[in-house]
Amino acid sequence: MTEKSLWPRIEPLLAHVERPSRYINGEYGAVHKAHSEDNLNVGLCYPASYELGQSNQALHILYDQVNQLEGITAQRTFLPGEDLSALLRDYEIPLFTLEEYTAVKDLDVLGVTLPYELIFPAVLEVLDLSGLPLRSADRTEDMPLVIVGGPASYNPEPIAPFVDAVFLGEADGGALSDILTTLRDIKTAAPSRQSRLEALAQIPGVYVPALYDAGAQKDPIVRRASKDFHSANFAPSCLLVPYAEPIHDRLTVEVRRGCTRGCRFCQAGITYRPVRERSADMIVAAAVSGIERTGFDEVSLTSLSTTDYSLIEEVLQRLKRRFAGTGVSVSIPSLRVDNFSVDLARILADKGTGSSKKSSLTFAPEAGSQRLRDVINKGVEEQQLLDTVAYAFQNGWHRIKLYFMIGLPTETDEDVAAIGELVARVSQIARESAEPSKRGGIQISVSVSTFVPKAHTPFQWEEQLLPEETLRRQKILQESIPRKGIKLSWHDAEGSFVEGLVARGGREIAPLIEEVWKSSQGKIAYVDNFDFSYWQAAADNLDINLENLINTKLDQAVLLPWNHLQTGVSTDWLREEAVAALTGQFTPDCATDACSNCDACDSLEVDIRLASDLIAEEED
Amino acid sequence: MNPTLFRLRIAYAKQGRGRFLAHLEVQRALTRMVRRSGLPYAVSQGFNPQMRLATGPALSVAVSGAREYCDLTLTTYVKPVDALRQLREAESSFLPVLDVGYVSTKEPSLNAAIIAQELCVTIEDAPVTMTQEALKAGLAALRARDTLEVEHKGKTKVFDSATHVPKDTTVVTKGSTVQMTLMLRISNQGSLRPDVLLSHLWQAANLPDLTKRHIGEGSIRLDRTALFCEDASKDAEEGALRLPL
Ligand code: SF4
Repeated sequence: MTEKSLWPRIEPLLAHVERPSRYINGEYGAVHKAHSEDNLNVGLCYPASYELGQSNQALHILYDQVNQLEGITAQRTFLPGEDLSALLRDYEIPLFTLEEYTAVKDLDVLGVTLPYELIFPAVLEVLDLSGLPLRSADRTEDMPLVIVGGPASYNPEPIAPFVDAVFLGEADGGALSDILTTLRDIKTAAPSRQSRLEALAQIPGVYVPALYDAGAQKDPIVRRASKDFHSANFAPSCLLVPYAEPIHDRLTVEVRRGCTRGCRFCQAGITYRPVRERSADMIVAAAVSGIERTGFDEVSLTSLSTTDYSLIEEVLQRLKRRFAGTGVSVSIPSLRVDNFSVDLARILADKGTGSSKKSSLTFAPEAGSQRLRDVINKGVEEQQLLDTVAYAFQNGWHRIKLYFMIGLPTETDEDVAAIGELVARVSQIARESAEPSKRGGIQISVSVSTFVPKAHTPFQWEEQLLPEETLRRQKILQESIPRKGIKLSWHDAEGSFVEGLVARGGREIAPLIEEVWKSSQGKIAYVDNFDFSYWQAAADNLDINLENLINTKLDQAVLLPWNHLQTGVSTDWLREEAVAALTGQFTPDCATDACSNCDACDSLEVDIRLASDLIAEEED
Repeated sequence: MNPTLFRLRIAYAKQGRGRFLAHLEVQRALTRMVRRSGLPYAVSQGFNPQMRLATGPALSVAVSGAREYCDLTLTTYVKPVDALRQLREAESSFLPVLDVGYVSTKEPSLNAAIIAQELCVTIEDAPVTMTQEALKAGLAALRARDTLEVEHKGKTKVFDSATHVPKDTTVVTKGSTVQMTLMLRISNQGSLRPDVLLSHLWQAANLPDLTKRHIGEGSIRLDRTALFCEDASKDAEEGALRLPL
């Protein structure tokens, strides 16, 4: 800690707040670099609680990579609990970083992760707690540059006035170092804010809204994808072991990046193309050394769809052998709808590997009718789902979770009712397949979200339901679904509505975000449960009608708010996919099947890399 | 008990900013340290095998511990010097390892064996009336009552004063800071919480209610300075205490 440390002022507050261990830093594996005036001090912020933020894998990767750069320090900062935020304001203490307890406003760069759209008001809370003006234009020379990135930054227009720069894509694999070393190298010359922004605008993948507006940044900004994901000298991204219990309290090893199964509603399926996999040896070594070095008792093999990792069975068997008798368990985040996935779950559930059949298996058919599953390119046949469920129950599971969506393009009332009918058949097959003694314990949870069209997907022009219509369809669903043994839950209709409002909105949404933060007195940033009344109140204050503000359906001929930002996937391809959706035409997964010419590989200069091919290459 | 298992007692401190850790957080941090250390720890039977590590009496959030203990079950014997070195290499800064030693697997658990704790209470900006005499008189007044009644989560618990209120205290005053050392009983059947005892004490000693102090009015810090077991050895006096390690 330096003399600028705010710790002496923070310490007396900690006896008065919940779970103060979130604010004490000093975790095993936290990095403290020697202090130097010339260092570029970078804040890494996840604009939610420590428990959520410390579970975020991107933050782990960034923390590790920033610290590897010479003369650059990474310091974490999260949104404090509501209790501490109130005390910080009462005692006029600015938001601080954990590593050094320096004020966020004294940093050179504040990097903020945007995991989803509804977190935008929390970014304003972070800025305000830090004592920074909300709008980029109002910030002065000595204030940090606020750079955002992450899944919700592909349409950053609603938050653009509040940030200095937006990074599009994967920061590892070179982009992060490009950005930070550029700023480090010019730091001693004390350049103006303007010239720092100009330097940033030169870096591929970086969007500087102020310069773009002024015409100084002209070309479209193209997402960056890591070229060396599969080959980079890889160790588990972060070896920091939290004291306070994060939501995901475990080691993570990213095995695969990208998913090209091609679900037409899915934004991640576009923004992480193409598929790249790490070798099995690399993954096993990273998991084993990561556990040795951190002491965690669980390792999670992460990716958008881990069961699709080409050598998943081999990796699981090897890890199971390595961790036998140590109390260390292995987990994978989601399963495909097939027997192979159940077999993988069996490997994980074997005695002695931690997870058990008491936990539930999760499948995502997404739509109830075959027709609609074809529209979204889900590629799951009903029989396949029923067989998989039967297989799971025969193998001792008695709890499953099913994910569905309503409001998908072309959806009719029959399609909605088909969800209920499908669930009834699943429930019946579950009962028939389970051991008679276990039948009483069968539990089927059905979770239904509302489709929100996302930027850069084939469905980006599609219609978004208004809350009233969502409620009507939810009612149809409720009536069609069997009551006995089924636990039904859904996403709040108004929550999806606001998510859609922000997800496809332009700059005109920015004042609304500011107002919702202001009129809720910051509360909107903290509530775990979404509260629509804050948004309604904000709209009333601004005298706007939310239903008029939302882009319910976009015209293909009209310029989209994110038109200047590119994912590498061509708009023509998105259009073709939108047409294919209407006729229910299947587009295969290019990771294992033919290329469908989305253009990502060429425009990003990155190739598909499968672990199974890596072996074949070695053998040649 | 499996005769091939070994019980290693680890003495550690909960210190610095680490005093803000909750007991569960300390437990998790200790198991992680052990796994990092590479010691041959034993795991429990069953579907979710867990490291066999048992901690002593819990410390509250914001209370530090100068010498706390946990028992780790090992599957092979490791020389204490080596075990200590391995643990120290893996320790986290707020929970340094002080010492280790083997105890018999037949001995009662730490939680059963530990019966007393020494607490040091540091009061910054103490009222001038907080003197050794006043505090001693306060303790005597509390002991003179038969029982102390404590409200906790809507229930009333009754504590017998003679067992739970310390007989004596040493008080050191440095400027406006008062430091009071107390010996308190701990038992599985429920112990009087130090903060509850203190709030009774302020009353009995005619002091302002320090529990209602605001931020900035000077802190009250609790540090647990020692834990004790009953000394059951042949030549020990009745009620004598010994250190757990
Ligand atoms: S260009 Fe072809 S291979 Fe590459 S991601 Fe697109 S569809 Fe897949």
